[in-house]
Amino acid sequence: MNRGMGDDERHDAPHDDATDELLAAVVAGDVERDDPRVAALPIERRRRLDALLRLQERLDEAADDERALLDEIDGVADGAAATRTGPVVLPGPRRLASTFWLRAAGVTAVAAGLLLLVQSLLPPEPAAPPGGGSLGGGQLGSEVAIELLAPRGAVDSFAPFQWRLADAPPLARYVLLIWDGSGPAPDSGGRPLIEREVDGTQWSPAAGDPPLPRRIAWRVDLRPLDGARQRGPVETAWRER
Amino acid sequence: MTSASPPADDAVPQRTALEELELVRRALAGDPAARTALSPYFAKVPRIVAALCRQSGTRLAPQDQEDVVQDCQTLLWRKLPDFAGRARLTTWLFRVVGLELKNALRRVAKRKKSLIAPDPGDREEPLSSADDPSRRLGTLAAEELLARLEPTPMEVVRRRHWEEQTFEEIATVLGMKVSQAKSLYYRALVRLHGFLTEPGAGGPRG
Repeated sequence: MNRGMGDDERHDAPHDDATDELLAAVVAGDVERDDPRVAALPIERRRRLDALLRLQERLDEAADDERALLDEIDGVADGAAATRTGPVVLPGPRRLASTFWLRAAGVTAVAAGLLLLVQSLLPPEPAAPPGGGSLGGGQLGSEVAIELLAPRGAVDSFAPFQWRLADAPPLARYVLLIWDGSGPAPDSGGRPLIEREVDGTQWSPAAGDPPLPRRIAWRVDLRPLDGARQRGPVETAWRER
Repeated sequence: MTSASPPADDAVPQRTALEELELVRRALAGDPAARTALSPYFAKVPRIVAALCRQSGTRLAPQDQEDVVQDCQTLLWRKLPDFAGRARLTTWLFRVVGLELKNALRRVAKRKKSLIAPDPGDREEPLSSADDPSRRLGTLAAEELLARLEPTPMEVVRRRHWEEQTFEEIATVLGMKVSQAKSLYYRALVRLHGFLTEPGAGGPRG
């Protein structure tokens, strides 16, 4: 047993130093992922390797996002709100160089790539889940208590779709599904009009999305970082005009 | 660096990492000119706080934003001795603020007076539970995860991903064999993955 490994290692298939060396070599880029030696590993080890490779990608993205945000922070011209900063090094009178929010100048949020960890680190799911939806496929776990905030019932406009989940697991993402409300019930296997994986708790249709019918049913599933996707509740809404 | 007075604006002069480290050391030793020269760096804290809050979707009343900024600046001064010059000072400030911001927002949330109540007609993203705004800071997960590693593995990961160094470069800088650097890196990734998947995984240790 190798010390220093995370607790999760104890739950894996038995491993040895040779396997760890091989995985370390793949992660370091010295051995290709499709090397026959990797293919010969137990599936649990290959899945773990793939998760580590995805984690590498997300770390790269997080680093890129940080650099971009730092560039933005350094590059913001604060002439309009600049003040002599004075002795801000020392705790003292509250002085702010700016009280207005930065524009989101197209800079990717720091570590936004890590929000993709949920999708990336989960193993690919082979089949469509019951109840419709094909994104990530596979059996859905038990229902999760996501609170669907809007739209609900009669509304002027569906967007933005908003939801909330108390105590959401870290780096979990959501899968939003929207059905034609005049069609079969969402849990009857009908294919959704829209299925999107979202890293926040709201979503609005984009220009390229299909138009929504007057009446819709929608659901938000939870996709934890590791583990089965969990089905959320269904809500209906309709446009009054 | 020769001027003892602050620049006309809060632009940070170009300095090398070593120069920044020396600046910090002199400031900590009580050099008034050095402390003044650090002002432009700390002047970025409001922008950092604003940017991080924006990304997390957290909206703060102006007064509470001031409180958060003040808390972060106080912490930064207290943690300044930890600055080792491994990253640029602005980057270090950014990362420390990121880790502290969650705590600062918790303090604000406890007062239950700072989160701007959404207008009934406001369709902006809903605020998180007033008791736990920190969960909105998912975008800072990278810093929180790295903070849970031991220093050397964390350094290896940072150099590999944030500084895009090769293992040969990392090994040279850290004074170890290349094979050791690769092993540390692999184990660090395993640990990070474990943190992400453990029940109740969340913020940094301690």
